Amino acid sequence: MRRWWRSAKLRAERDLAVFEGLVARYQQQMYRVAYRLTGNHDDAQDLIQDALFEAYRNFHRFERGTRFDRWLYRIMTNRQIDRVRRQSRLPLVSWDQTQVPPDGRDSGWESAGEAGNPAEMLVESVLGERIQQALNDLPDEYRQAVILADLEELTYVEIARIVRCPVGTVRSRLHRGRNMLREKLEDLTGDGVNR
Amino acid sequence: MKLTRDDSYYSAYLDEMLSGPEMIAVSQHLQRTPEAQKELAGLQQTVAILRELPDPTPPPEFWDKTRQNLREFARRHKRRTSLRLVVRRLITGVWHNSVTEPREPSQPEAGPSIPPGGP
Repeated sequence: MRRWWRSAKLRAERDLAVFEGLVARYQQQMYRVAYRLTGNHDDAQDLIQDALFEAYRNFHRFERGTRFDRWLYRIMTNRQIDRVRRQSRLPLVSWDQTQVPPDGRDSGWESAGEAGNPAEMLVESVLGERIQQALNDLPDEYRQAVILADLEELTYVEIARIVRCPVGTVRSRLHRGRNMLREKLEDLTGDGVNR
Repeated sequence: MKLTRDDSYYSAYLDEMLSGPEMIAVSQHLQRTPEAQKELAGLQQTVAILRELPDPTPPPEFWDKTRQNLREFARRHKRRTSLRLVVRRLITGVWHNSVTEPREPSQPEAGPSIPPGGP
């Protein structure tokens, strides 16, 4: 029994090391997807932690010959759907709240301490929040499709596997999502939609 | 092939996710429809804006903290799984023993009623 216990311990340590290595390789993508899905840092961090725990618990089910990042995306999108259902609402932030406060502080961590022209950073940050808000306003299914296709550059087949729906549905969700964004961001794209 | 305004051919055309005949049909449609060209250009710009978005950065301690939490979770998970396996082994072992190993008889048995080896 002791030998069996010891070998189980070694196996678990080895699995954890492999798992940590894979996570380290994809952590930047994970954070990007989590942030764009949830719309804020706090929820993104909670989502990543939840998804990692679930992924570790099911690591023995990860299929050989498939990509770890795609598997993580699937877990993350599922967890996000669960979270939204639990909360029964998405955090809605008004346009006014997305503006930089009068004291000039920015709520985003990514801007803090970064080198660069403060005016440019401010413009980028405000624009980034504006685009994120437009993403947040999309229905969940459209947002997932847009994030996976346009930010992560996944194919329709890969997205269909992740969100478990037909490729035609992905295509339609993506198109509708992009069109909604186009309408919301028309002043940025210089595109006169439906005028 | 007829294209309608609401279908998703433009996005798929943009992503090069259509079949050859579909690509040709969309391309021809675009050549003769300025409105479609405008829509495609708008979609293209929208995608470009999204791809320009800077990567969000977590606070510096986030990944270290997450790794620690993961290790703690893994420790708890391993303990739970191991205990479950031990309990299962014990149960299976007891069951196995009770089935395969007869209890020590109080009196010496006379031997098997059927002699081994057969006729």
